[in-house]
Amino acid sequence: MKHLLFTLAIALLLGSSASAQMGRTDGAEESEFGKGGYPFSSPTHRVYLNTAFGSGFFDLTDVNKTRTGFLYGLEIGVEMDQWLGIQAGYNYLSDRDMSIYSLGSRFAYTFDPFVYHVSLAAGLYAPNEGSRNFGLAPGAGIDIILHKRVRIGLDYKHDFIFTDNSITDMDRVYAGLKFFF
Amino acid sequence: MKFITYAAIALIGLTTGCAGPRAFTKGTYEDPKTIALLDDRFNENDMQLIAKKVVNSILEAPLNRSDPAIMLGKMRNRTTEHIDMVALSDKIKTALIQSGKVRFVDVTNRKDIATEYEYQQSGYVDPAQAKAPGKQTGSDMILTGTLSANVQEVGKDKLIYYKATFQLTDLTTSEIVWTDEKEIRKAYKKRSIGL
Repeated sequence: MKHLLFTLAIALLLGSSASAQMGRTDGAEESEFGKGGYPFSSPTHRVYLNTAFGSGFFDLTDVNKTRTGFLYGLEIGVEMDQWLGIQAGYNYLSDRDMSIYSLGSRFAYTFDPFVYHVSLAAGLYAPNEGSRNFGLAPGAGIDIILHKRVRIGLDYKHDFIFTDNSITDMDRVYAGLKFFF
Repeated sequence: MKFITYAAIALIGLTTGCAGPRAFTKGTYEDPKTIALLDDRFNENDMQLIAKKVVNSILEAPLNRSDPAIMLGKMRNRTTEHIDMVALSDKIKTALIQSGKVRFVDVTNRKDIATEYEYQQSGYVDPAQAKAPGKQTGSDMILTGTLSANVQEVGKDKLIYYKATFQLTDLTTSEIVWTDEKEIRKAYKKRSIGL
């Protein structure tokens, strides 16, 4: 897992170094080549950090009840374009003593000051006790742009956790601040 | 769980509903030399790039004459776009005059100047100060130019090519003493612009 996170961090740093430049027309002849863009859109290849605080809702099949647990986590991602990003995250669900490592993509639509987004992530669900399982987590959410580098958002994710004989569902609802670098 | 789903749908609905009629009310002054490509038409950046090339080329050219007097001739727009060729030629003229290496004679205001001569010679103006015809500077060269374009468009991709060709013609010999061109190619990708 450490190796995976290290590889991802390197990829994110490399991605962020290739950010586009606007350019000027008063430079040397042909210095405008490769420059341009749309000044009102978000810059491409931005790294962002998302803090997550919320709740996880999961079903206890043995007592037929839904329980909630405090959820916190961190997501780091690269916004390749205004609409597309890849992100990796770590969430911890306290009442279930479970760590969730995820990697996925995020598709966004900006309607200033709101950013609507949907996501799909593959995850490793690792409880402190018991076996680790693989799962998929589609999600949706809304961010509100507070500043060009800061957004506040609300996210919902539904987890399909694939265990040996069945699929366990879990819902995550969390709010968070997103910082762009 | 249904509560969460309904709450999420309601939140999306509310935030979308807040977006009523919109107007351009939030603005900032920007550096006009910064490249900004909002649409695929000829823009101020294209004009600046053409003017820069033409001015530098004229100032570096051996024109066989020091401090020549130049008149602005026809600037032809052979593209399908509406392009303000006067703005382009004015930009070139301004930079050349400010260089101090060439002079320009005023062609645009000839009628007004002639009318003013008539007025000043009519007796209303002090004869010692009245200006009269016969002392204008004769042009040595005429500056003309042509702007043409070519567009290639396939699916979401579009390439726009502009070629601006300018020339200076010696009015005594009708020789073209200088010519140069600026090629501009812009690549665009189509993207959605709203709901």
